[in-house]
Order: sequence, then C-alpha cells, then structure tokens
Amino acid sequence: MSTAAVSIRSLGLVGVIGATDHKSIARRTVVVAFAFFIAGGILALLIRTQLATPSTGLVGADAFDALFTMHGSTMIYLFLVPTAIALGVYLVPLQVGAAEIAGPRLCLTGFWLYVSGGLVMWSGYLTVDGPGAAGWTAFDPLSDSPHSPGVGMDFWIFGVMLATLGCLVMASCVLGTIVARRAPGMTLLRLAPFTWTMLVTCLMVIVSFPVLVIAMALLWIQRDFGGIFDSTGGPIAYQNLFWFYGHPVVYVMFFPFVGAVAEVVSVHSGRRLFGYRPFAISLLAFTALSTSVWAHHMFTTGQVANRYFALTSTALAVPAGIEYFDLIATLAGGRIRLRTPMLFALAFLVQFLIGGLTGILLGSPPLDYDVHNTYFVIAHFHYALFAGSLFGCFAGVYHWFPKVTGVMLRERLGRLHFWVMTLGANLTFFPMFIDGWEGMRRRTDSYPASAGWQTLNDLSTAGAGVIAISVVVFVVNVARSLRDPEPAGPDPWDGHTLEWATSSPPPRHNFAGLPPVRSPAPLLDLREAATARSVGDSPTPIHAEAAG
Amino acid sequence: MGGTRHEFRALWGVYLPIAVTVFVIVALALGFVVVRFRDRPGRTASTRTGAPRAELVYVLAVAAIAATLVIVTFRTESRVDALAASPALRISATGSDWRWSFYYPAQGIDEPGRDQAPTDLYVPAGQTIEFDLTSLDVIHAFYVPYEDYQRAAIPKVINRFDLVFPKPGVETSGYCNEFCGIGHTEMRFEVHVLTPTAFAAWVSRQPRSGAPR
Repeated sequence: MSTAAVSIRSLGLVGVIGATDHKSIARRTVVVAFAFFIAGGILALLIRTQLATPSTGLVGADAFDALFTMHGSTMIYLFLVPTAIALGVYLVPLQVGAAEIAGPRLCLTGFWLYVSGGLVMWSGYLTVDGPGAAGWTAFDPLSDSPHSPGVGMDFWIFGVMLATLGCLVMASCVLGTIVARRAPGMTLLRLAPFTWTMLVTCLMVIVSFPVLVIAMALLWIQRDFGGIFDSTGGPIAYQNLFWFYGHPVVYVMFFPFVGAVAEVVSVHSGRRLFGYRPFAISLLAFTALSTSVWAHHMFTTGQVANRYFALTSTALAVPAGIEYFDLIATLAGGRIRLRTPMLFALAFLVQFLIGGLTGILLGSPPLDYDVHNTYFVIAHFHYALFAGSLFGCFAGVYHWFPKVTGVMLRERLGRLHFWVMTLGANLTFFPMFIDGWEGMRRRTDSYPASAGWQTLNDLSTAGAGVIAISVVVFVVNVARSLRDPEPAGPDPWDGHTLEWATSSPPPRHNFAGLPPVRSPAPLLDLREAATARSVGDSPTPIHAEAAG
Repeated sequence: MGGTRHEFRALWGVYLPIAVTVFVIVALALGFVVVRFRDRPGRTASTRTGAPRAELVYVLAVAAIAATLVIVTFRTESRVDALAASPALRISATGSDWRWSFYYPAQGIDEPGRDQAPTDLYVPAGQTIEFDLTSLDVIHAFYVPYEDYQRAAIPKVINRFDLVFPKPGVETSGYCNEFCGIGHTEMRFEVHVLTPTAFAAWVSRQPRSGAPR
C-alpha cells in the first residue's frame, strides 16, 4: 500500500487527487476550507453593507436570505468543521508517533466527499432560483417544497449531507489513529493535550454527525414525497434532530482549537500543561454534556423540557471553568514568550470568555425569551466561534505552520495580523450585544430607522472591513514567508510533543525514530534529563513520572 | 405580578453582574500572569504540574455559582410560564405568510390583518391576557421587545402564555422573530395599550361575530 502511494505521488495530477498521505489530505482540506472562508467572508461583507443603514437595499429580501443562509452554512459546514477535523488529520498521527493515519484511503474519500459537498451547495448560485435560503438550520416547514421551491434548496441539502459525511469519515480515521496507532509507551494519559481534544471531538462527531446526515435525507424525502414531518409535532421533531447535531457541532468547532491553545500556552510558557488530568476529565464531561444540551436552542418553542436543558447548559460552566483554571495556571510560573501564536492564544482566552459567559445567560429560559433570535445571540456565537475558535485556530496556524511547511511565518506581519483582527472582531461583534439586547432581530434585511441602531450597525460594518484587511495581511504573510523562506528547522519553539521530533515538513512516513514516551511531553522529558545530567544531579526524569 | 418585563429585568440583574465580575477577575488574572511571568533573562519555568486540592475548591465554587443561577432561573421561569386560571381576556394570535391576525373569542372581534401592513393589537393595561398562539403555515414567533418576551408560533400546535402590559398609553411594535421567508422582516404588529375603560369602549365599537371588515 505504501509503495503504491509513493508511486502514485509521482504521477502529477493523479497524485494531487489521490495522495493518501494524511499530511497531504489535511493540507488540501485546509486550503479548500480557507477558500470557503474567503467566500463566506465576502457574503458577510455584503450582509454588513446591507445593514450599514436601516434600509440600504443593496440586495432584495430573497437575495439577502440566501446571503445569510450561505454565510452561516459555509462557515460552519465548509470552513470551521473541516478545518477542525483537518488539524487532527495532520497532527494526530504525528502526536501519537504513527507512520500513517488509520484508514488513509477512507480519509481521502472523506476529503473528496467534503469537497463535493461544498461544490454542490454553492452551485445553488448557478440555478434560476438561487441557492438554499432557509437559514443554516433549514427548519421544516420553511425548507419544504411549497415554501422553498427551487433546486437550490435541494443542492443545499445534498451539499450539507456530503460535506458532513466527509467530515464524519475523516474524523473516524483520526479516532482510529488515536485508538490503534499510538507509539509504544503512549497510554491514553500520555496523549498530547491537542490529541486529547481531538479524541473527544471525534467522539462527538461520531455521535452527532450521522443524525444530521439522516435529518438531511428526511428533509429531502419530505420535499419530494412528503409524509415525514407533516403530522403534529413534525416540525419540532426536525428541530430535535437538527439540534442533536447542532449543539455538539459547536464543540466540534471549538475543542480542536482549545487543544491548539493548550499546546501553544504550554510550549510558549516553557512548561507542561498544568492539571493535565482535570483537563482531560473536563473534556470528557463536556463531551457527555454535549449530547444533553441541544434543546436550549428551543426554549421559546414551548415544546421541550426547558428546566432540564437549562440545568445541563448551565452545568457546562464547571468543565469550562476547569479548562480556564488549567490554562491560566500553566501560564503562571511559566517563561512566557509573547510571539504571535501566544498573542492569538491569549486573545482567545479573553474573547471566548465573553462568548462563554453570554452563553450562560442564554442558557436561562426566561432570559432567552427576550434575546432569542436577536443580534445578542449573533454577538454571542461570533464571540465563541470567531473571536474564540478562529483566534485559537490562528494560534495553531502560527504555531504549526513551521512544521507543515518548514518555514517560519513573519513575526511582524503576524503581529500586525493579530492586532488588526482583534480590533476588527471586537468592533464588529461587541455592538451587536447592545442592539440585540434592544431587540434587533437576526435574519432581517432592514431595521426601523426610529430604533436608533444605525451607529451600532455602522461600527459593526466598519469592523467587518477591518477583519477583511486583517485577512489580507495574513495572506500576504503566508505568501511572503513561502517566497522568501526563513527555514524553521525541526523544532523552532522547543516543542514538547512528538511532531517536533521529526523534520519540518515531516517525511512521508513521519519519523526516522521515536524518543521514549513516558509523559505527555516526551521532548521536554529529554530536555530536562539532559539539563539534569549536565548539572550532575537527579539523573532520573522525576517530572515525567509525576505527570504521566 | 409584575409581568414578563419585570421578571426579565430582575433576572438579568442577577446574571449580568456575575458575568461581568467573572470576566473582570479572569481578565485581570490573565493580565497579571502574562506581565509577571513573561520571558526575562534568568527566569526558569516552574515544573509544578498540578494543585488538585486548590483546583477542587475552585471547581466547587464554580459549581455553587452555577447552582445558584439555576435555582434563580427555575423560580423566575415558574412565574413566567404560569397560566392564570381565569385570565381577564383571551386573544388568539395566528401567524401566516406574512401577517399576524388576532381574534378575541369572548368578544367576537376579529383583526384579520393585511399583507405588507402591521396588524393592530389592542390590549387593556394591568390585566392578565392569555394568548393562544399558532401558525397556519411555517414556524413564526410572536415577539414584543417591550415585554421582553417571545414565543414560537408552530403549525398544528397551540402555545398558551400570559402577558400583562403594565402601563396604559404605550404604543409599541411586535414582530415575527422566527425567520419565515421573504416577508419576514415586514411581518409586524402594533400594540396599543389602553386603560381598561378605553379598552371597553374600543370593544363596544367593533363589529361582532368575527366578520372580516
């Protein structure tokens, strides 16, 4: 199999299509996902332009409905979820010391399912009636054929189905790698922090993604044949199915980036993750709770057990609190290098906190009765997913780009990217808390001039422009770093985990040899043992055992 | 009974200060740690990897705050979700693409509404009004920001809830707040809060038996 893969690689185009190296699959996934991020971002700029004044009228109501539907769908199904999984496809085999991902051809199939899903969803723009326009949630009956006629809606359904199936397949390969491909000595309690977050992410994917695939199939049958959601309670049944996927997916789009932040905080503080076991337990608690909180999206329907879901949703504060404790305690006592990855990680901690704390507010049904479906909710989940997850993602990008490409990203451009993006994110999303609290509704193409929301909306629109500039700075940084490379070497950050024990980029089968694995930070063990030897005392790696 | 507006603001007054306090504490701790432990010549990183007892105390504190919030929420929700045994007035509210219609069954008054125009909703101040909410097609939501309250209007389901409009003379807007297609933005109604006497006079002026005007 491996020889076949190598020989295919030399075949040019066939190699691009069919390469089964997990690193190649992950790189291609990230490149495609970034293209969708740009596309979804352009839709966001159009939305913000429309809302710059109470009735700008840049596009009509139908085009606006397609804009916010495709913006949300693209960012979730085609950008954040695949990027989160791709991070695992690249890094997990390296972090567990495997030569190859489990099921490489399956993983490649997942990539192509995802790509075809994205293309199918977006080809709705080529149809007469336009793409899906029933929101990223596509609630029934709005998404049925009388209310959403047009083949674009069917394209949307099949696009979501294919992309989600692709991510499910890729995640199952990552999970298989963690279960079956770990290096000798790597027990579950010696997994790298990022691999732990991928483990729980994949568990959530495997529990929840099949439900969405089935819900989409049912939606399509409903559109063409009926009889699925027609009876009393049918629309609520769809929402239960959708949100059973739709809440775990929020954590799928979050935990890999928490893992990236944990690695960055730990490595760039020069010390082991503080509270490794509580951190792992909190991840498992989150995973368990993730399947019991979905109906907090349905408090205002009057058709779910609000108290139960308020209880489980508020309980999430406990594992989230553990993660904050461990990350801040890792920084305390460290030797903190404030390079670009650390800047993004710190901003993640501050900004996600705003998203998380407002999430606790939304977990209270009487509060949700007011702010549900207002811009308060938009502000909340953009603080969680943009100012949180995406900042964690960029922390990981700046941290691992040297490993993936062999060259460093420019530090000054990185800082510029960081500060401009931080300004843009807060300028865009903070004002939405205020106009949302005052009752500005989401998914509307205009708002009453008398409401006095124009200044707040202008700030948001200006902020979206600032975000766009920061993305351009990032692209320039990548282009310049690749064209005029500063070689990174195998381990530019004094890393802790096994991906830094091989060349950058790693060879086809990842490792020439592995160091002994006696803790979650085997490279730090080696460094500490060397220091101990040179000082001449304490020859045994005590800390390795304490942490392992 | 102070109504949904009062309940919402009281509960918000519990949650928001706690959220702001937690944010300030964490942000200050983070800022302090980053300044105190930044890389300087001669600094070595600590090798301590855990403080189980301190972490347990911290976890119990977070859990206590979460438990308090859940209890306060449950109490408020009991009052907000409660239905009066004999409300002063019943109104059937129905959403459809893209208009609101209101029917006063005891009075036989029908406000069928028109497309592209807000429907008028006349209510007496200070009295408990039961709304029986449903939809004729897709899911809509009945949302009155002034009352800090909304409820989904679901086809084939009747959602019942009580509202009290505390002050007479209030003119405020209500909206559909569940995306329902191209007419969603304009799917509105206008709430007119009258004194009970003025409301009685308004009732007596209306044509009866629900005949469309």
